[in-house]
Amino acid sequence: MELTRLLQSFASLRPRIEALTRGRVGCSATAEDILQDTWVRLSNVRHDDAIDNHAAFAMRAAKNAAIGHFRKQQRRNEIDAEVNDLLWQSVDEISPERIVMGRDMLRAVDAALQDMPERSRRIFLMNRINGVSHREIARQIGISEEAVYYHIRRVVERLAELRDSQA
Amino acid sequence: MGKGQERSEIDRGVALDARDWIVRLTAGNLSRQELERFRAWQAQSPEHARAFAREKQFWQLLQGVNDGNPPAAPVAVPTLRRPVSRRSLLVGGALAASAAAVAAPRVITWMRSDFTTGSGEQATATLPDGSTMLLNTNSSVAIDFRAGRRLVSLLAGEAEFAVKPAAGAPFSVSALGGSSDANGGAYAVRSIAGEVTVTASTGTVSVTGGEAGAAANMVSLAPGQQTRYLSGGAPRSASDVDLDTELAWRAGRVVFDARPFSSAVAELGRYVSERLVFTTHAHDASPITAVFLTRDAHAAIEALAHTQGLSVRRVPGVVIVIS
Repeated sequence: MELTRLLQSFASLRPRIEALTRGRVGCSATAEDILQDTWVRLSNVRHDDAIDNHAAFAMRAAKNAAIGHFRKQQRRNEIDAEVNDLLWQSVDEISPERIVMGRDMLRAVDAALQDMPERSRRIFLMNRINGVSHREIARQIGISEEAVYYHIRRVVERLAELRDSQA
Repeated sequence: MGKGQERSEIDRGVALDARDWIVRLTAGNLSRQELERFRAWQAQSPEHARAFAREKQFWQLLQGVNDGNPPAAPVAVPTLRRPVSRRSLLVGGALAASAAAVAAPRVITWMRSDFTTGSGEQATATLPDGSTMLLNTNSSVAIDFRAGRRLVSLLAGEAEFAVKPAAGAPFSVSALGGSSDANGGAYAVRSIAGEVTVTASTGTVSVTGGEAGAAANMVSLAPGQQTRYLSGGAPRSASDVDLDTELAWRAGRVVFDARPFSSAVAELGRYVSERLVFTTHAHDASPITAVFLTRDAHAAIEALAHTQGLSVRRVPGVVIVIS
């Protein structure tokens, strides 16, 4: 691939752009990702003859990418906060004395977990106890996110059955 | 309202959907569209909302499950007499100042101690005689093993000792003016809010306190027994306890068996760095039976408060206000 003048500008400015981006997002791994994105975007610009100042354009592109990253991060945080409220707000419709699980029930749940396939149990515990996301579990174990969902869903179903049978 | 009755009101298909949503919502990386789809699903009928509430509650309760791992300890080998960093003493601002006022006795304890753990930490240490010690959260001990002595001072918190039998002096743990001695076996000593609790798990322990020499001031504990004494006081007679409950902290858990709400919250408060402040006494007196993970103490405090209809606000590192 022939390097366009735009990409040449970007390459020669890279150390400076990287420092600026790192300063903006406060994380060098994230800055690296943003620079990568910027590079891809710049390489898709077809008519770089139309651009007056290639250096300024490249800098602007990196800045926009950093801002885009923040917006995305902010949306992510908003969604996470809403989900958190949904999952952890108190449950008014259910009487308080039942919100704690008795030891007998807990023992039964532990026993049922022990009976689950090792991989399902491990994935469930990673998610429920250690709070690891499906994506991260998928990455660590080397399976798809759908498979992670399936394993956890299966354990939840088994435990819910147990709860309903003991009620 | 019986559970069976409540469940029969929820259609099985709706319950399955509710569990699907629980797993999706807890996946991380939920998209905005999916979140809106969930809200639409939940808003379809009161039955949908109820089904979700039920599965959500169950998901919350699952926090107490056994993850099959041994306890998180040993987290770290405690450091011997770390110098006090200037930074930890130079605090500014009103909030920090009030936190410092609360923390001051802790700092003094910490300077006298040889081993300490912070909030939520546990640590194991091997003592000079080969005995081992497991320190629970927010605990400090000083040791004196000079000239054949085997003295441990529990300055604050809780520790379990596995004592190596030795021909010389007995292994002795002092706390609040009393002393718990053994030569072999394992026992736990806790010193919280001016009261010491001694629990023998294996072997026998003799606990002395109060006026020296008086026979009534010595209690002998058999395995599975416990005694308590107040600062400078004589130990009460031994009683049988459930070791799994009493020593659940070793496995990173707190077990409450019909415990009053305020006492349960105070116990969980030992595992967080914030001070607990109640601005209400409006909680009911119904006792709590539950199992929580100590490493999730913030969530546990919140869950407990919610059972009483109370709200929890937290200023990280400073205070948790329950109102």
